[in-house]
Amino acid sequence: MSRLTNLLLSLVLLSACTAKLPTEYSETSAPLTVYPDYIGVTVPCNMAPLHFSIENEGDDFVTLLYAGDERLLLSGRDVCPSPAQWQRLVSKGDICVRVFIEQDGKWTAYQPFPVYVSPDSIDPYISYRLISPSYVAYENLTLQQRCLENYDEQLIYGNMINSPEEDGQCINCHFTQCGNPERFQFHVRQGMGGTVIAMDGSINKMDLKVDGAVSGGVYPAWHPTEKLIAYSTNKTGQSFHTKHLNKIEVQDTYSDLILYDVEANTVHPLECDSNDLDCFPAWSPDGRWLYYCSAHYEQQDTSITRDEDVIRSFRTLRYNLYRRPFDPATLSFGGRQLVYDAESDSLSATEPKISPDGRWLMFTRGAYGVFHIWHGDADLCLIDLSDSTLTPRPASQLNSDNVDSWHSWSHDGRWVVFSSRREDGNYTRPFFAHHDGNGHFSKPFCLPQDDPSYHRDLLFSYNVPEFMSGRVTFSPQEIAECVKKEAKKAKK
Amino acid sequence: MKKYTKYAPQTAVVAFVLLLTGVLYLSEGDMMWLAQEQSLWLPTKPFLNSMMRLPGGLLLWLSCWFTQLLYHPWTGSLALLLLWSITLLGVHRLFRPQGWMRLLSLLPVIALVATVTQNGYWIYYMKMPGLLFVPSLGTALAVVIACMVRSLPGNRWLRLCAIVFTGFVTYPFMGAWSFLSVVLCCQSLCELAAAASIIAVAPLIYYRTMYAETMLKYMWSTALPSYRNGDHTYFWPYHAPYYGLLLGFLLCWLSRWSEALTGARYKRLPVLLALAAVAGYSAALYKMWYRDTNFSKEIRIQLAMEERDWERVLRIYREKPSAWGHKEMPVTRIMVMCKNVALLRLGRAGDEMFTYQDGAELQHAPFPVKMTQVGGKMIYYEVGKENFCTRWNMEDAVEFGWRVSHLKYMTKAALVEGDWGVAAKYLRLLEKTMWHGDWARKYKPFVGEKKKCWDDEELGFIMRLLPGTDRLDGDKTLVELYLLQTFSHGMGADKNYAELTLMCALIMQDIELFWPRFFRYAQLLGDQRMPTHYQEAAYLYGNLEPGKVDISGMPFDESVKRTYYDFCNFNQQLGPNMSEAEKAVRFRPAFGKTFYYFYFLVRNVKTN
Repeated sequence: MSRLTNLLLSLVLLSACTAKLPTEYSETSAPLTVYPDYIGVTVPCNMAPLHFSIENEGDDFVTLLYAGDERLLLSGRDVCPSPAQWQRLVSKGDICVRVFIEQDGKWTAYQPFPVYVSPDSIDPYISYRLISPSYVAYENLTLQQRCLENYDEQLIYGNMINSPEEDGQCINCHFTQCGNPERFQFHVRQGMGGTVIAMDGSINKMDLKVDGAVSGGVYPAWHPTEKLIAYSTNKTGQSFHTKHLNKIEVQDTYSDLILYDVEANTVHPLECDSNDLDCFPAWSPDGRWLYYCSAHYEQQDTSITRDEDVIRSFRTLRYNLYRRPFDPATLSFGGRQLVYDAESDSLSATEPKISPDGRWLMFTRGAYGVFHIWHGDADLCLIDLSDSTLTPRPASQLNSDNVDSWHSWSHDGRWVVFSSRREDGNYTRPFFAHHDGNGHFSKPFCLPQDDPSYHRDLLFSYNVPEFMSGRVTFSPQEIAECVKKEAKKAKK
Repeated sequence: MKKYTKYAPQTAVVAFVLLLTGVLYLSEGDMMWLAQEQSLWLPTKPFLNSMMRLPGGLLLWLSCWFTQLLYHPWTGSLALLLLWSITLLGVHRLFRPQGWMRLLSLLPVIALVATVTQNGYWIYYMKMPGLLFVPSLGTALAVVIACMVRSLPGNRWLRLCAIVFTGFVTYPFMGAWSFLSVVLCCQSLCELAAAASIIAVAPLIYYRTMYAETMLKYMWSTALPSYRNGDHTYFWPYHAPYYGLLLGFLLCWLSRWSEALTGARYKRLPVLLALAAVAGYSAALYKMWYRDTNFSKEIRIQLAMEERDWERVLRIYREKPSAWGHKEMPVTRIMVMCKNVALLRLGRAGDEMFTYQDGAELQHAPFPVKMTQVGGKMIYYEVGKENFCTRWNMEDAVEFGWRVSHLKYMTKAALVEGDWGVAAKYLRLLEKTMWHGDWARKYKPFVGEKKKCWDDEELGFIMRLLPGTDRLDGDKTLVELYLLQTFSHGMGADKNYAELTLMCALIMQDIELFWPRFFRYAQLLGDQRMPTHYQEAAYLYGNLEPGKVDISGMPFDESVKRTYYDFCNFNQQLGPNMSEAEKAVRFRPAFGKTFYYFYFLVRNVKTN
């Protein structure tokens, strides 16, 4: 149905593309505002066309896009080149965009702005969950996959196909093994609960909760080569700020790490100290290190429950980054090593992810806590692992005044996708940026849509965007059939 | 004369439908306004996509568009009248009833009126968008499609193909209403069998190939309302109009054999039966028509509060239908809270808050109505609990779908908190609606302008009520209890905030909480007169616990002291053996509007 809508929209847009360059105009140095902000961004050569809308006041608009000897003239406030037109431009290199605006019968030319084209292509798909930025209630949740080379968004699985009215179903944490769409997993909570794991053509639902564990698997990390998934296990609660714009605080009262052997269907405890809150595991690309974050917590006031105590001390709970060596042959881990002592900086570091070349560790840093997607001060930071000082620094080019978090590296480490709330402070959007391999990034740009105002109109957040090398081929109905089945119990 | 009597049945039918529409227009204006506030239509791609992900999406999308017309009861009524007229004409064309048998064509329309008028508090709780228009629009479309298919020339096979084609093509757009259209297309048992096959098979095929966001079992009921709350489906009587609709069509169809069935001897019998059917339907409509004074008052109070007309809030609160005579009319807790907010805004809470009828009447709904889902969000906004206002709007939007009221209150809460980005987002969306653009343009200048917000009569007042410090908290869905506990423990430097804490301390009937807030308020009041209820509380507590606070130097009004002694004397006259309930009745005429009465004789007020 959405394809039909797209086709109709494209026909309308094509019919509107009969622009004429004004012959008389004055130049201005006044700022030009476009939405989404694509001014000066770097895009991969295989990205869908950047459609944008001119925000400045005006009665008529003409936009000239040129690259090399290729020129494209479009009229109207919405600038929407077709895929063929865009490809012709991209093939010539960096694109220059010049906007002419007519007001009261006079044309004004704004200073041209560049759209840099990188020869580094981007992974063709991302997956994410669409969810309202809600608190406790959930209704319609969908795991989606979006082709970055066009605007096609396809459903991987939607919870409503298995949600009778009397019993809801939460789905979350869709992750792949190094972007391989043939190997993915996601969790189903409450109704028909379990962890769905797809592996090379088969799909199964597992129950990863073993005796003595805090919970089943939560935040996953596929081993890059082995059929192993490291998980955190979390007992999570939510509380509400009475005043702060962060609105909600998501905290763990207990969290440990486990290792799940997919083939043997066995769960191995990894970090089980109740005074340490361990979370967000991530493998190094060679699979020999497991990174994670951990906060030391000891109950301050024993006259209240642990949950209440955690809530009271929410501003002082801070996470450091650690790693443990791993031997895939014996499935054994060495002792933990401190990578970044964020607490000593009065900060909290979470969600470590290592670049595919093994050099860069990107993580999210905020003033406190673990669930940084709700922390306005959360920023992305980098540590150069080839530098023995392991000094963290903010990834300044990526960060904004609002939440920047939940990042993922492309297969070659040349692109990152991350979640940002920079547009309105509440709704998360996936942003992309080019990485030069030396810890420098280009100006981030938002996921292109065929309708430029799509993200302004959308009342869902993009949750956990992850690159994929292709499309998940299981149909939603096939996944639904798997979800309906009884979960297979994992062994300890 | 004969010329006129020839058209008497048609005239009667038209007059009856006009009468129903007129009654709807005159009596359900409040409900119609609420229905459009609890709905949303946006001319955006994500909104269209969100509807089209389910079979029947286009019907829901159109129904949401029509629901906007309810903003003005006359436009909403006219739109419904139009759809009912289409249905009437279609029924006449499909079944061709003759003479007074034309009255039977009223049956589907009466059933459709019931789908509009039976809902009451379901309007807040219904997950299907466009509730008030889906049945009327679905029926009208089904009838029109059936007329078109039936008018196709050709042989039996072509007609069968047309029916099959209709079923397959209309299902994605109309959902279960497409079943009605294919059934209405049928003129023979063979066609009916084909229709039944399509109804059985089409949803299955679409489930396997196109729709993956609904359960298989719901594929046959998509675009039909589900009267479900919590774990329970309220089948009866809410589904009755839908069966009434089908029965109405069936009776219209059967009418063609009426004479053959009854014979020439009982020529008038079919007409009498038709009249009886219309009377029965009308009686059922009357019985099912949701009428509740407090439901209507709650809506009107909400509208008055949104228009910042605080006197109107109090006027509506006091209103009593003449049928109640001298009896006191029960009030709901949300009404009581709105009344207190109005009095706070008017600066008369300290003199009047206990002079109004109190109560805890539950809303007349078959399920427990939660304040968070009815008026609680508005109250949170008015008293500076903006995160809780935002939270419950978002929770409701997730569970029941986005509505105009969610966007409005989340916008205002965002402005009060300085959450500019999201305020701008919601305002941009509201600007795209049919009627709420002016509202959006009114609030748009406040985005990014903290001082302007502070200086604004509405926003500034609320900004001064914001909590001084941030902490983590939760209301456990009990709005009133949470607010009472929070404010009665609060202490503010702003006079209105201080008064709110004092009001809550009074309602909590807690002496320990009262005194610090009383002194803070007195300090901020300066030389102005201390309002009566606060004096009453101070005088009462000072006498109850003489050692705690010395009230001998306080300038109490003579009337306050006199009322207190009269109250004590009356209590002694009644003696110790009288129950509290009896005392409450006896004390009410003379002391019902005092804090003394509230403190001693109002007990166990339950909040929802």
